[in-house]
Amino acid sequence: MNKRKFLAKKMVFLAITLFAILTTNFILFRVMPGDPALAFLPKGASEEVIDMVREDMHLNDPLSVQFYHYIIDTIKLDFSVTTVYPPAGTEVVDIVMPRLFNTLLLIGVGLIIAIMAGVWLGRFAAWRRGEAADTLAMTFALLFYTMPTFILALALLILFCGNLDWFPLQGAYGELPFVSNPPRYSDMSLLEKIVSRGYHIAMPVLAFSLQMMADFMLIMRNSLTDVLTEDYIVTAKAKGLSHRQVMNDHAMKNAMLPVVTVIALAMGWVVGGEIMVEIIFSYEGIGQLTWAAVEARDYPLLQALFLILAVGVLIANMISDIVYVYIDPRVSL
Amino acid sequence: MNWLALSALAIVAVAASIGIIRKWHRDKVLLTPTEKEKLTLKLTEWKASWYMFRGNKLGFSGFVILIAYIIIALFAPWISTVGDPMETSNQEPEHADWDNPHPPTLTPSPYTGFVHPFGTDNIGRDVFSMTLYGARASMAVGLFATLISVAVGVTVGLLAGYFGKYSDEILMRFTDYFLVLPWFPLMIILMTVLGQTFMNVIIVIGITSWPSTARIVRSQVLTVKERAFIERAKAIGAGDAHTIRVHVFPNVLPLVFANTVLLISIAIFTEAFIAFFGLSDPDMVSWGTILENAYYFGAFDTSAWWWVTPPSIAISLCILSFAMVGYALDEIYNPRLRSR
Repeated sequence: MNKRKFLAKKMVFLAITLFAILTTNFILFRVMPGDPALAFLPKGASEEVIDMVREDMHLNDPLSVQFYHYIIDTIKLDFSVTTVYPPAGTEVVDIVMPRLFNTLLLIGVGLIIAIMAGVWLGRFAAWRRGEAADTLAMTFALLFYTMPTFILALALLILFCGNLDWFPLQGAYGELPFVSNPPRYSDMSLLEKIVSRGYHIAMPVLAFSLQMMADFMLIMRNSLTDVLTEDYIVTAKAKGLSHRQVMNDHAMKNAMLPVVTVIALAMGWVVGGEIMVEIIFSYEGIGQLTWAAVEARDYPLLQALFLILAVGVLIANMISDIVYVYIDPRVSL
Repeated sequence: MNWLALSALAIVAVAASIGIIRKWHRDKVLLTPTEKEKLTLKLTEWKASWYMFRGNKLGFSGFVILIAYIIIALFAPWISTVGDPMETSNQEPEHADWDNPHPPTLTPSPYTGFVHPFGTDNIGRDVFSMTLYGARASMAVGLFATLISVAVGVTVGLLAGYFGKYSDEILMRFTDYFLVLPWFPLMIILMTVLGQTFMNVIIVIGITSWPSTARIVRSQVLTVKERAFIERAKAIGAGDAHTIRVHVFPNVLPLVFANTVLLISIAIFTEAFIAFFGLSDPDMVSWGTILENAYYFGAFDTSAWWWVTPPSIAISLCILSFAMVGYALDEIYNPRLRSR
């Protein structure tokens, strides 16, 4: 298949999906029981304010016009203002943006660790299939794969942040290891900032990446054991290639394809696990904000957050599609 | 809710057994020697699968644990030490020498006479009984949510795979779209929008977990469709509905079966954290709600381990056993994965 054609097709699908997500997001928050204007306002708002909000949200217009305005506003990154989440009346963008970085940091570091460790361990187990090391690795993988993320996160929180007190209990930055009175985050030097972030992020990343790692490892091992029984592997071995050469040049290239697909499909899970971890470790990111918005029933904020999360997953999928094109020998330019 | 579910189950079971008996009777009358031969072959095949499953240590131990969970869910009121732990009369009131949460003890309490082998929670409910009752919620969710998800997934997959062309393109793009949607925020929002009832938990889990089934079914239908017997059936005038029902569906079923077991484990896991984040029905005992209560009470800091550990282990073990059975079935019905 042609590489450009493949990517073009994916882009069209991406655009359609984006539109579908926008539509879902629009409909989801219109089918809520009750008057949306009332839901968007705190209790006891005066009649005039309600009318103003109705006019502002275009609620007096037909649905098609409302939808048009919603799309236009979203393109302009105008997500309206929060209704409950303190301080009420803040622009949603101003609340979301600083937290987006924290979340991307957590997801990025966690995913890189999970993918690298998972692929390496899967390769390790597949090569030693049937040996004690394989059984041990598989047992650990199954254990972490089936352990619900929030229970693992709670266990880590109690053990390392609570009882042993090695890591901070909450937040995304601020404290420093071995320093009892850390300076304000804005006053820290760059190195101190990095150390502080690492100190805070270690446990959430561990809780978040262990399950992903186990998942990727199981897939990698399955895929590799499949490939390792193929005839061309026997040929490669018969040629006298070393283990490393057989693995790198013949087995891994073919075994990576299903793994990439699985990693792409796991993005929905990644977001779910990330939200759980953020809530439990009180890590100031998008996930914790989603939770706060649910608790406060702050619908404009929730609507914007859902859109951000969905678009994030979509972008991750697109990246994996591009990666797929580059590693799949069947898709050529 | 429990009685409703039980009676619904009973009706389904009775209808199914009547159907099976009637079909068996009809078949017995009309059986030709070739069909008899076919049946024997099928029986041998089933036996072979069963022996393979028995031989798979991981899968079989998972199966045994599963049976234990089902028994616990069915007989929870008789196994539990206090009966229904949610009844106010079955809760341990605070006294001078009885603090709630109370650590595990095997001596009966001096006030209500109940034994609390896993201690009590902050309002005196018996943790042991609550853990047993939690199995009911999990099994109900696992069963019904998976039923919804399999029904939707199989229908979409069959239609997309069998008819191909435009229906395939449209249905698969729809499936892809659902795969891309971040399901956890979607669930949170759906639960907020629909309202927090146990029924909604089941529906929400059901409608967010079907895409994987649809994909598996479709890919299997695509290979089955090309086989000669489908062409033969069409040549003698079989309609689409008949072909799908009699020729395609039975050939797809085994693969769906293995996937379904894995889906159940995902459904149980999902229910647990929907409940843990307080989005489930507050009146329904489930492992997630126990953990939620413990979390908000601060049992994780006050080292009330007896309150936290049983439900955590129950969830993990339950999901583990389903996953083990699922992988074993996958290995049996998906010959590509058999160890060579």
